[in-house]
Amino acid sequence: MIRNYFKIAWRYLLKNKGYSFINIGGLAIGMTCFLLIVLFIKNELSFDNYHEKGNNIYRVVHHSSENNLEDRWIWGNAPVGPALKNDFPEVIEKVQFSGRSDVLLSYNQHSFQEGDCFYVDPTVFDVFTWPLLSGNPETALEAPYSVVLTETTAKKYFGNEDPMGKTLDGKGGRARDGKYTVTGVMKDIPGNSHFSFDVLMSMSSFYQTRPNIFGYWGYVDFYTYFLVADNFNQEAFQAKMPDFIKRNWPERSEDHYYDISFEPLSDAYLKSKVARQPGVTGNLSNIYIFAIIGLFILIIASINFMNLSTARSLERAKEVGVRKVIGANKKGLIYQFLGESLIIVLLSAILGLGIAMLCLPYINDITGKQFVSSEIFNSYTLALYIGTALIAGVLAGVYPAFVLSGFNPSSVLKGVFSTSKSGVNLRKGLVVFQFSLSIALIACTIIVYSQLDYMVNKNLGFDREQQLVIDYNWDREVLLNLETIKSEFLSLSGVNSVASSRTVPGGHFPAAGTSMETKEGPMQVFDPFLYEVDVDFIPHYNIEMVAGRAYSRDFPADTISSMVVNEAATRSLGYTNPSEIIGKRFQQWGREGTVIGVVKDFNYVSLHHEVAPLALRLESAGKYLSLQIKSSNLQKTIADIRDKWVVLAPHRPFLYRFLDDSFNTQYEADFKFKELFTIFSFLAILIACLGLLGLTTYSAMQRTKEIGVRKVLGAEVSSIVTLLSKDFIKLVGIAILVATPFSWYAMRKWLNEYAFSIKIDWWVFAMAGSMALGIAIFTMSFYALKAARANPVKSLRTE
Amino acid sequence: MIKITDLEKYYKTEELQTIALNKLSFEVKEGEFVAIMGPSGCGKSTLLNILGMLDDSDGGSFIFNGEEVINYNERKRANIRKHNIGFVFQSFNLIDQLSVFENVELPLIYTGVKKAERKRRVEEVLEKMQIMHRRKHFPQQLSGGQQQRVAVARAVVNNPKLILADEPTGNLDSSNGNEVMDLLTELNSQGTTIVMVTHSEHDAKFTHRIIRMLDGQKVAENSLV
Repeated sequence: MIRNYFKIAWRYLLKNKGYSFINIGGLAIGMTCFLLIVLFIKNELSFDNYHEKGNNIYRVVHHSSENNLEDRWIWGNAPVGPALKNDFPEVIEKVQFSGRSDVLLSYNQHSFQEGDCFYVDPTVFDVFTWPLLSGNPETALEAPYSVVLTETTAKKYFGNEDPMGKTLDGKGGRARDGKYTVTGVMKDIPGNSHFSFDVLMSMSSFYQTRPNIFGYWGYVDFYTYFLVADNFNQEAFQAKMPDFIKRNWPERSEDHYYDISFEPLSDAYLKSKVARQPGVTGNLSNIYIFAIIGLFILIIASINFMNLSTARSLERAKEVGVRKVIGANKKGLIYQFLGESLIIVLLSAILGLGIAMLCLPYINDITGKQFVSSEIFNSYTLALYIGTALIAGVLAGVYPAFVLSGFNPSSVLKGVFSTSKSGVNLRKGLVVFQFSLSIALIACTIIVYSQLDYMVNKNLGFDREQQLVIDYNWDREVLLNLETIKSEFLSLSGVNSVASSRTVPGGHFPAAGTSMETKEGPMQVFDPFLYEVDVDFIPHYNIEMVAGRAYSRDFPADTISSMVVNEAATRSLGYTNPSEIIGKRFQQWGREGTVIGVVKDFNYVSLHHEVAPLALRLESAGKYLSLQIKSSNLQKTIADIRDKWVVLAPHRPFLYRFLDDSFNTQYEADFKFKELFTIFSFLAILIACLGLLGLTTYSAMQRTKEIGVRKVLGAEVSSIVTLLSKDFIKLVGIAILVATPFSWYAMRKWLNEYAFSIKIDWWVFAMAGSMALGIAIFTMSFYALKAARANPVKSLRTE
Repeated sequence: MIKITDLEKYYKTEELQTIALNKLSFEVKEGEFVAIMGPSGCGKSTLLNILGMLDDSDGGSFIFNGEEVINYNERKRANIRKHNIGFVFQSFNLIDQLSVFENVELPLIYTGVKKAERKRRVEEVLEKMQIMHRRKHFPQQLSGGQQQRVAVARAVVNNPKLILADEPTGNLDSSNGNEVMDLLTELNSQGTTIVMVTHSEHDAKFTHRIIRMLDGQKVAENSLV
């Protein structure tokens, strides 16, 4: 019997190739999307799960104000680490990383500026599972100026030589320049790590250079992780913190808010909402978004399947009638049709698996992840995949199975056959549902595009075009000749202006404990972000002054007693008008004086964030040279600058980038999101259209006779196309109404994650609706035209 | 074999109720060959569907093989049907996706006959219907007469006690039609009871008795033996 069912199912598939293509192809694409999304989500959820002691690793979150989430940082002071370990037996071990450092490392002819270096405690390999390929994990990072390289980095410098015991010349970073001895080579950091690095240097090198900051609770440059005992209770531990801080930082002034809390390692990548992370974090809501899209696609494909199978019941009616006449009962027929659904679903699943494998390199490209096919064939993923396929098959197959098996044999064999009204309504309802999802996805795609477009093109309040930024990384010789180098560059015809600074917009910057006079009089301590800039920086970047003046060579005292802040800083101190702060006193990092100017708030970080209080401190030493160059003859100008650099700083590699590019790297995750979102939306819409194509085809087939009669009576092709499309267009109209509030709400929530976002205009939905309508009409016109053009004599004869 | 008494069937739409069978009563004895005749819409096909237990009646009594079946549910009726009744239709109603052999085999599958036995019986009946050489063909590849022979083969493969034929020659030319009638006559002579709905006086002459119907009622009965 089963063989007989299988035979019939197979022959139907072969006979109705178009139908089979739509059904199997649509489902297969749906299954592919589902599988890829599962891989993506699984990867996102797997971050940091490879650490053997991972469940017992926590990290410190530093709070510099009570409520504002933006003032909760992972980056914080040094003494908190030793103090925690010292005060609490449940803290078994601590490991601290310095802030990310740029260090120029050289070995013989090989010289690279390493951007992913951390100074770290020797306990790092005890707490984290980062296996060493050579070297002793207990002691590798104990001695000052010892360095552990990842495998890839070691290869870069030493090739096939054994790096152990060799020395690298190091310039820049947190320690004085010196020779670092390679004491270990470790495996590369797995891709699913919440932060990653190429080079680890001993914290003792940093300590030797600046020992005093390791005792300052107010100095921010460390990430503190710690290992706890199995019986660790985070809540109870948290309750001990107020006392702990009082005890360890007695000299803290009353108005300086400081508190700490803790985050388990497992939350670091996806759930951490705090700022100043050591690496790029993921986004939990993206995971929900993709999970929902994956589900949508699967639902759309399953609905196609349901709709097409039910719509085609006409063709199967005779078979059902005959089977019933010769003794089949309803139950057997239900099994037969369910079985057919499962066959189709399984074929689709296999095909989907194949497509997914072919897509992997492409997906890796977009997501920046390293998926391999073995991840698909991982038993868990495969079980989930097949399980979902079977559930989809049963869910999509049940309704058609009941419809088909319920036919009355006496009437279907007579050819008296009408689809029930409720069946037709259900099918229409499902089409509305599919198209609502599609329209919502189109609208969301438009909004995602507009937001990213806005982010890239918004006026940020400073000049970011044609800014060539040279990274000289505090190089001593460069700093000594900075003014000469600047004027040499200015002498080039292609260079408009030059400025030096410790950071450039979009780059990393510190914060500085600062006291400033409030409107009411007393000094207030706060931690504005800090831009150390030279006298040319503000005019160079064309940053607008809203009060007072910028730094000037005409005021030599500026170098020791002046301060420029942004509007946000004045607001945070209670000033309603920026000009009121001019002349007020400040103290910062040993400097005292008055505020001389206020710059208009400019977006020095991505538009994800509000513009926070910022102090622009005059400092001649820096890390970057910004050159604004003319757009004509770009290649020649760059070559000229390089030639100059080789002469002016022969020992430094010429490292440069364009500011707009580097600024936009902050949006890398957003762009990946956009790309994935677009692809999946497109596929969802494609599958929905396949379904619509199938449905119009069958509705036209059912009306073949009607079309014939109408044509005999003189109907034109256009009126018949309208006749066939009208019903579906109505459905798409309803779908627009359903989709609009839904997608508006979802996108409102999504945009809320950006401090600066677009407004959602009504036309987005109008456009999404018309696109869906256009696609629908285009799809339907295929068969409608064919049906309308057919010779009526033929269609009438076959009836 | 069949005894119906005061059988009633209505078709209802929102506006009106049509009477298809109006207190119809008659009896068919085992081994009889009965023709039911009458103009279109007189209730012949409705009657045949009820006799074949494909349709419910709205009143009266239907005794099949001494059993009152009027209130049986679908499962019970399907069970009686597959063991006792074979159908032959005007439009053949073969399943297009199954070959001749597979079409004829289908009733045996539903009654749970073992594979080897199925093969033997299908081949036997195909031989008898002289269609054995076509056993691997699909319905579309056969002429109308051949298709109806396959349909008859399918109807008799289970050795039913009763064959219900609904205008079996309606779609055939006269020579093919006669062939099918000869087949039915032969089956009847071997003991199978046959009830046939027909428009054709010519075909009716092959039977023992003609029941004439009009507006859901029996209006005449002619015995031909």
